[in-house]
Amino acid sequence: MAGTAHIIREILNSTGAIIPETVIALMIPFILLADLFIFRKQKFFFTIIMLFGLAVTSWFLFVEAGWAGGEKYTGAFSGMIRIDGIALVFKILFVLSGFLFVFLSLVESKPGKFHSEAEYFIIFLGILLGAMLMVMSSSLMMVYISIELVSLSSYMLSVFNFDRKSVESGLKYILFGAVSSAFMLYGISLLYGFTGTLNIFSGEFIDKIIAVPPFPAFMALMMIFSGLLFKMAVVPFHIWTPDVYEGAPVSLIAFFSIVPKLAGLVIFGRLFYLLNSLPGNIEWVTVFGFLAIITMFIGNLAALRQNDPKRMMAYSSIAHSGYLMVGIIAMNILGLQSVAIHAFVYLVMNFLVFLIIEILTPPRGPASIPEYSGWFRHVPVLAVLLLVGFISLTGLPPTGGFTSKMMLFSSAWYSYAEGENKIMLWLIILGLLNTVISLFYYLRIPYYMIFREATNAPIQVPPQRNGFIGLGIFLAALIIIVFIKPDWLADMLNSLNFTYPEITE
Amino acid sequence: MILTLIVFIPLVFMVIVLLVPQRGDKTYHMLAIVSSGLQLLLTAAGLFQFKSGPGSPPGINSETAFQLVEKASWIRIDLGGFGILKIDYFMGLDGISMPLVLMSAVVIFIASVSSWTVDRKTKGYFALFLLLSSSVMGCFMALDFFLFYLFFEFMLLPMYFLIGIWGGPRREYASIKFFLYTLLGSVLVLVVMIGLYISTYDPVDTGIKAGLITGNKNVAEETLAGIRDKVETGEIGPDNIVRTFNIITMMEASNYLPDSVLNVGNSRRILGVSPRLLAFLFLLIGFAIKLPSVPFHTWLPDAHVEAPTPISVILAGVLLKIGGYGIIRLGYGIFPEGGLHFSMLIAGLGVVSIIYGAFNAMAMKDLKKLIAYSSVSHMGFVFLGLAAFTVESIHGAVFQMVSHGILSAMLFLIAGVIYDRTHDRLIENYSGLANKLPQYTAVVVVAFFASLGLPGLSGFIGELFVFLGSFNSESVNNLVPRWLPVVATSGILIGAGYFLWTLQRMFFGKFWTREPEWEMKLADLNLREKSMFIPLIMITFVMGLFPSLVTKLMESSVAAMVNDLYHTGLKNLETITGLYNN
Repeated sequence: MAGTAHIIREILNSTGAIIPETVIALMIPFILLADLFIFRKQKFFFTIIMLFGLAVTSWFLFVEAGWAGGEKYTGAFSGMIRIDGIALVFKILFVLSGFLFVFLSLVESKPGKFHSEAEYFIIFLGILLGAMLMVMSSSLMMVYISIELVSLSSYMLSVFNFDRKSVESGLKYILFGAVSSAFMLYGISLLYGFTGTLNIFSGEFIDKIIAVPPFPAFMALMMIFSGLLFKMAVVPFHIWTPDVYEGAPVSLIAFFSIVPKLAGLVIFGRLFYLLNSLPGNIEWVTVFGFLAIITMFIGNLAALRQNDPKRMMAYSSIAHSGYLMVGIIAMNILGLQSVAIHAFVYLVMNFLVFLIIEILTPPRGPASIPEYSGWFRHVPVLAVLLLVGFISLTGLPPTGGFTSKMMLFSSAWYSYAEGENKIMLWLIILGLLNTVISLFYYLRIPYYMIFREATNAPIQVPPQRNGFIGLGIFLAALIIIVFIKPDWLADMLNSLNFTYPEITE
Repeated sequence: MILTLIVFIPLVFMVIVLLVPQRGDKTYHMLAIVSSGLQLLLTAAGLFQFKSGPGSPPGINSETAFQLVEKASWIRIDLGGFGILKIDYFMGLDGISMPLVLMSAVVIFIASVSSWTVDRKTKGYFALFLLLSSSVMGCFMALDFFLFYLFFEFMLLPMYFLIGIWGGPRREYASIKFFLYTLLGSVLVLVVMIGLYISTYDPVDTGIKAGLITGNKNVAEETLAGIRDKVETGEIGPDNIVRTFNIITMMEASNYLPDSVLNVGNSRRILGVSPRLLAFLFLLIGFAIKLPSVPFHTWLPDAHVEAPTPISVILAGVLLKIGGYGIIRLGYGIFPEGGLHFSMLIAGLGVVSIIYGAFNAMAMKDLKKLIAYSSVSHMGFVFLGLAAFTVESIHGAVFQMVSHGILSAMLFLIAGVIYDRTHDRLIENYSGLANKLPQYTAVVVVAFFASLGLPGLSGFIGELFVFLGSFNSESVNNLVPRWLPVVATSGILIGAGYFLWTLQRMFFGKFWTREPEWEMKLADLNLREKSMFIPLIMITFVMGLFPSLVTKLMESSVAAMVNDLYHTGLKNLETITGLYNN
């Protein structure tokens, strides 16, 4: 019985470590019940509740970060979760994109064929909770559970339009997702068999993996990676992305294109760092460097031919997965910092682009890219904001996209200088070459808006959406501020002790 | 303060243009002229303060020898274990950049006068025009690589829109081609920039960060040597290293971190080549696209033909010079051994551009396309002069850039005059224009003769210096064999051929135009056009008759280049080849 008492004590002591997540988790039943009994389908109230809940969550995150005082946790729940600088930074980014999501959802007049707003927010909270748990997991079991939480919510999200197209894309997504989950689970069980532990940070885990012959170890790890790469939309696990993007409402897509991707990236990074500390003959850097290059090329080349803004952004997000991987593969502190900074910039610019696309969506339904012809005349401010977003996505100065991309490729260069791995050099050259390719499609919407004469009826922004132009201006200004003065971002990261995940216990 | 004002005055005016409501009158036109007029005045004031002549501070590779310097801390990113990333707002002029800045100020002013006839979407046009004029000026002044790159990239976007919205019939194709080509060039420059700042550190700031010294004023050589030793031995750890984008710091071999990829003493090879030579090659291609040199020139005729006249003027007059300037300041400045190692390649590209550009120009039916190819041909002299790397040839290369800036502005204005009247630029559609348009013909004669290198006009001086220098090269430094300049002289003959032939076809003989009603439209130069041509013609004559006015500005800098950079280059080349032979 002493064991049980110990476990109970451990759990009680650990609850302090998951307060922000608890708030999110409590909001789910609250909103569900409130929808049924109190505020029946009143969007306004749910928005207030969401904003309030997110504000409370971010306050607790600040406490956790030490910005608002309070004790810091590292490990909790007997090694199930672990809060370090990386987890904190990404949790803050997730909550930030949560705020932006709520604002963006206000722009949409009718987000899909939902029964009520509450369902829409519950899916969102599910993804958010899953992602937050994911970046904190130190046990493979926890990784799996949180990935499944994200996945199940995402499956629902992808079919919520309830038309033929979204059901098709949803089914595709569920099938792909189920297979990749199965692979991942199989890989986890193999690793458990090899090592006898699921805690990836424990010394035991590493010692035992070293003893496993390379091929079985490679297979088991590759299976786990495939599940993560699926979440990150890295080639060859990217095929679901454009269909899901096309079928789902814009606000959820904006959120969905960032949060699960970053969460997957964090776990990928943790495992990747772990593996590279092992002696062994598997060239993980080369394997994933190659995948990153392929991902950039396929994402950017496929985006060239898209005529639907959402599909184009889907391929753009695939390409950006490739860019983000560069920072992880570089295996240095600069790489990690630039991943965090690029993640922040990517979040802001992606939301900016989706916000403007949503504001510009005509009542009859989403417009294809050629339909944007001549809109600059009617909505010059929005066109300029969209241009800022796209320039930043391309990675040209004077935008934050340039700064973060320069840092990402700097880390690759640094890694090449230190380690002489040829793949890093190719990553730099081919990765930057991709900038040139991506320019072509990122400029297409501005091109139609500004260069072409109007071919159809002028666009009219509904008056209730005008207020959100201010949000767009704020995001665009943020992108430019990151270029002009990025110091504070790095200082913030440093204050969170954002360093290598080291192995303890 | 002057340099900051020159760069930022157009931005202030841009904001004013954006705020003033559209009224359909000439307010924006006036604002642009005032802005570029102020820029010109300030540049003249800068020239007044600029010390030139023998014994004046040369600049090039010594931070204290730059003039009108402005330096302020801008970005310092603390990257934990990676050290600190330092970006400064650092601008200054030396003998290479001063003449180019002067020339740009003149050309931009002329272009703003030439923009008077723009009547479509004027607000956007002038906002972008002012943005462009700010960034091209900044490009010549920046001494921090990040700042340079910012200006270098920043002119692409306004240019893209200026060609794409106000251009000719195939403007969309031309503008995206221009953007993609030049972006490809800047990506190559970006790769080198990343490599450079990771490889270099600022010893003074590193010392301050490590707590060895307290201020950056008057740091003794021994203290610096001590800091360098400590970095060498690893006593100053990576988290105290201050990495810098300062171009001047990058020119000094002792500022490279031990074992960094671009350190001269590093024996690493990339694809079998020394990283430093490869980096030079990247810069060379990056800037050759901009210059443009054959075979990277194909964007230029398209962009020129479609661009509106004032934008063609800036494109040919100023933007192309940034390619030449970049290869001098960054390519030769940071990797002088690359310039020596690849001298045959550079000279070869130059000569091929001269001849190929001239032959193409001869075949062109469109007057503007002819002028565009003549630009390719004339910019070839810049590469030939740089490759030979003698005192005369570098004088010639820089002089040629300045002279071509003025001449190409004139030539594109000439093409604009005829296009404004008839909306047709085909050479074969006109004949005997001299009878009808005597003043215009006089201007054309001066511009054409100056371009084909008639003594007494500016084009002659640049080409003469380049030839003198490159003929000498074989005996002075053995970089360029004598036959190359000999071959290049044929370019001058072809140049004379196409200019004179055009003159004969279009202007001499009996007056005739394809469409009879054009005769009514063909009026001689008006006051505004004369006010653009007369100063340019005067500058051409002054530069041709008194070249020392321009060469005086650059002589000490060129001397420093030929002495210091040449010897650094030789030393580095020896080190590199020594490493590979062992």
